[in-house]
Amino acid sequence: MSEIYLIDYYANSFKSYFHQTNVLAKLIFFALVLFSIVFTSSVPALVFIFAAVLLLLFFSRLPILKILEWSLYPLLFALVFVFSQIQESGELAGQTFFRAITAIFLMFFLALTTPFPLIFSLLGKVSPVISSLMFFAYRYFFLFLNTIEKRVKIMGLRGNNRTGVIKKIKNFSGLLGQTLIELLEKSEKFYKILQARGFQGKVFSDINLDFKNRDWLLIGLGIAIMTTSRGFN
Amino acid sequence: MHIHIPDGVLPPWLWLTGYFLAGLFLAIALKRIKQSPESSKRIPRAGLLLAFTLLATSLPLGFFSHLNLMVFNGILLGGAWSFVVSLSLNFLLAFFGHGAITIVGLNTIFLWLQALLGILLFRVFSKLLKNPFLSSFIACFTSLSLSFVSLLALLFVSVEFAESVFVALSLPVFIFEVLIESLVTGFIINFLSKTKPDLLS
Repeated sequence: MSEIYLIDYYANSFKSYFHQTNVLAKLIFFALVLFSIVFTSSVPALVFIFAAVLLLLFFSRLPILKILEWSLYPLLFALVFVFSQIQESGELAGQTFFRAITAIFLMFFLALTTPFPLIFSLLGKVSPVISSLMFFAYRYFFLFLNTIEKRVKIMGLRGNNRTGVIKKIKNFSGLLGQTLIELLEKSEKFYKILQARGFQGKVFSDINLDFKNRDWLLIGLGIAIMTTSRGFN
Repeated sequence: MHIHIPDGVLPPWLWLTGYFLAGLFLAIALKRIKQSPESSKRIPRAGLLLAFTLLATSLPLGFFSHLNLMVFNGILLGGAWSFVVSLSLNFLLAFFGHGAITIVGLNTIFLWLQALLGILLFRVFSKLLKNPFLSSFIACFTSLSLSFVSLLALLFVSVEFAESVFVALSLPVFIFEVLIESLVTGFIINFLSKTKPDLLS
């Protein structure tokens, strides 16, 4: 549960070269490298892209071991495919493994160097409904998390851990329902306050879309990774 | 239950179709939300439920599984909003560690279909059984089971792999997840029907 807290912390508090790069430049870089991962069928090319992404994480001063730990969950699902493919072809299994791990690390590079509100305010240019929804969700996620963590502890102290499985699920569901009702009332009040202050369903942002040298450099790096990986084919 | 398929496993034509269909359904859903003043007032509820669902997906149940609560979302939000929540949820999940950004379109459609079927079955069983717990439990269980079968069908026609190994590895996780999710959905709906029944209307 604390992983989203930490992702938010790394994205907002760290000040590496890549943290200061423009969000749009990072998204273009992300798309270029993802394109290379998905459309490359050579294992050495995938290993090359993986090494490049790993270097980026290293230079961003991000905790690589922590990222590896967070990656274990999606990697487990990738391994299900790897094991199902290994009998058919070792190369196919290798492709699946390196595609999965590189794409996960690339996603973490984006998530850990870009504060999430910057991304959802960009989404606001596509649809104000989605950006407002994200704004509310972002605001209430941490509130929900705190409230539920506290209540789960209290429930444990009252002996919930000693009851049967079904009873535990029932108690936990009741706790979720109760928290949901409370926060729903709060969120509706908050929305009315926002409306009274002139909120019309649009989240505005002051994102600067003018690129500096470092932004062009990142895009150039993305193009270089893409071209080099095509060269392996 | 959503698709945990890493990037690069599904053929591009399939996930690009997923994105295309998701874009199309999003345009329809947003138009419906905009047209209905009652629906556009649901932003705080939808935002809160998105946060709630994101939290549920980050709670490890053990056995490599987690909750999704899309049927629950569908019952509380209706068809149009549950699509927007499904898309936002999948985007957030990809961003916050589940990966598989290429599958976001397909996953959105999968989760939304679960929600739609769940809404329909919940309405039918609520009239028949007059029991919120049983109605939502059956709606969730049926909807997730059909979703798993359609996921297997999708994989069998599009990916090169040993089907028996995949089914043997994923079936126990699926059964565990569906049972827990159906129970949680049933208990929360039952709780809401007693304490705040207007949320379900």
